[in-house]
Parts: sequence; C-alpha cells; structure tokens
Amino acid sequence: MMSDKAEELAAQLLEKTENGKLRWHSEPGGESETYKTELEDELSFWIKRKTDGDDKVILFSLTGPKGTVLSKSVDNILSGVVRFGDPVVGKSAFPKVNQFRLFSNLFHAARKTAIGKDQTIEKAQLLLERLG
Amino acid sequence: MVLHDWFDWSNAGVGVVGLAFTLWAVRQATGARQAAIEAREAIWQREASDSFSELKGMAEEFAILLQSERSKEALVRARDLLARIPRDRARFGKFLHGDSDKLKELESVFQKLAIRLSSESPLEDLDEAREAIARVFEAIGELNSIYGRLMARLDEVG
Repeated sequence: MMSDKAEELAAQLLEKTENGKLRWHSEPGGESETYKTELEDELSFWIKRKTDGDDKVILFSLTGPKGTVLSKSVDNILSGVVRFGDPVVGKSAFPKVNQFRLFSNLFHAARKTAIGKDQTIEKAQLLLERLG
Repeated sequence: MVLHDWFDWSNAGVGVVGLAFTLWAVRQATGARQAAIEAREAIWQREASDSFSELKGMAEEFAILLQSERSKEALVRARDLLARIPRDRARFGKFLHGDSDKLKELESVFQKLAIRLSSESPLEDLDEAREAIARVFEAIGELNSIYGRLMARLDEVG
C-alpha cells in the first residue's frame, strides 16, 4: 500500500517536474547522486541513485518534520525477475521494469532541473559571444 | 504372311505400351521432383519464420535491457542483432519481398543505438532514453509484422 503511494507520488512529481512546476537541487550524498525538492519548508522529497557498473539502485523518500514518512527502493537487477523470451509489450509484462522506469524517469527529470542544462548552455553561448 | 503381320502389330503394340510406360514414369519422376522442391521450399520458409521469431525475441530482450538501463548488456544484445539482421536478410531474401528494405532500416536503428550505448554516458538524458525505448518498441512491431507475413505465406503454401 505504502509502495503504491510512493509510485503515485513519484508519477505526480514527474509530471510537475517536467512541466517546470517543481525544481530540485543537488545534495551531497557520498557515493550516491542525490536530489531534493521541498514543499512549503515542511515536506521534502528525495531521490537518490547509486550506480555500480550496470547495477543501479534508486531510493525515493518523503520526509516531514519528524523524519522519513515514506520510502521506496527500486533496482534494475533482472536475474530471477524477468524470464527472457516472455512478451514485453504491454504494461503488465514486467512490473519491476516499469517501476524502475518511473523512478528513473523522475531521477533524470530531477537532475535536469537541478543542473539546469539549458541555462548553462545559454550562459556559455553568451560568454562566447562576449569574447567576440 | 499373316504371321509376319501379327509380329509387326505385336511389336508396334509393345512399343506403344513401352512408350506410354516411359512417359508415365517420366511424369511420375517430374511430379516427385516438383514435390521435393515444394517440400524443400516449405521447410526453408518455415526456417525463415522461425528465424524471425527468434530475432523478434532478441529485440524484446534488448528492449528490457534498455528500459532497465543495463547499458553494457544492452550493447551486447544490440551487437547480436546487428550480426543477425543482415545475415537473415541475405539468407531469406527470396521470402522477404518488400520487407528486405524495412530490415535495412531496422538495422540502421539498432546500429545508431549500439553506437550511443558504447559511449561514455549512454542514454543518461531523459528525452533521449524515452526516444530510444520508443524506437525499439517500433522495431519490435516491425519485426513482428515481418514474422506475421512470413507465417501467412507459410499458411498459403500449406
């Protein structure tokens, strides 16, 4: 149930992040790449990704004034979960793969707003123009 | 005189029967040869459809690996596909008709993805990853159609 809630929240956050309504910022996270967004200074959403070669683990969490309220961890390790040769088209085919995609999409969207690629490119272009 | 005529007629009769028998044997042999050719063709066509079913399975595995961001494994699968598609296109060209060009396009799709997957940070951009996954699903659809058409032709042959 809590896990479904996490997916529901992740889907909403993804939509709002992609629509530019929500911005994330990078947080120091040791071996992980971490992004955080705050809602009215009380609630914070965190998305953290740890990478080891092809293996990736994403941790999504919601924290309130009293600590972590909800957390969900997904990974992309397929052994024992996906039987190759099964049909893949259709959402019910591989829940784990679809779940990983949702949180990974959110991670990438958060990173995009945090890094602000477009602004950096614009800034770089302006600086180059100034050089003449 | 009568005896001589009788021999002539019987010889002619034997000749006609022999000729008829030879024609019948030739016809039978031709029919058997044709049947053998048709059977061989059907086996070859069956092999073509089996091969494309396998190819479709490989593309589906590639899609799972791409969706799961398992880039190194996905690259291995992409290379497998790049080795198989031109081989099967050349091998089963006579059954593919217009699908041969489609296979060339699919080969180019997998080639571009393989190049991208072999880069330093493969598909780390959200839009690019989504586009790549969508392309692979389109490719699976195309391979499925080719497989379906091969099966339909096989059904027609019987």
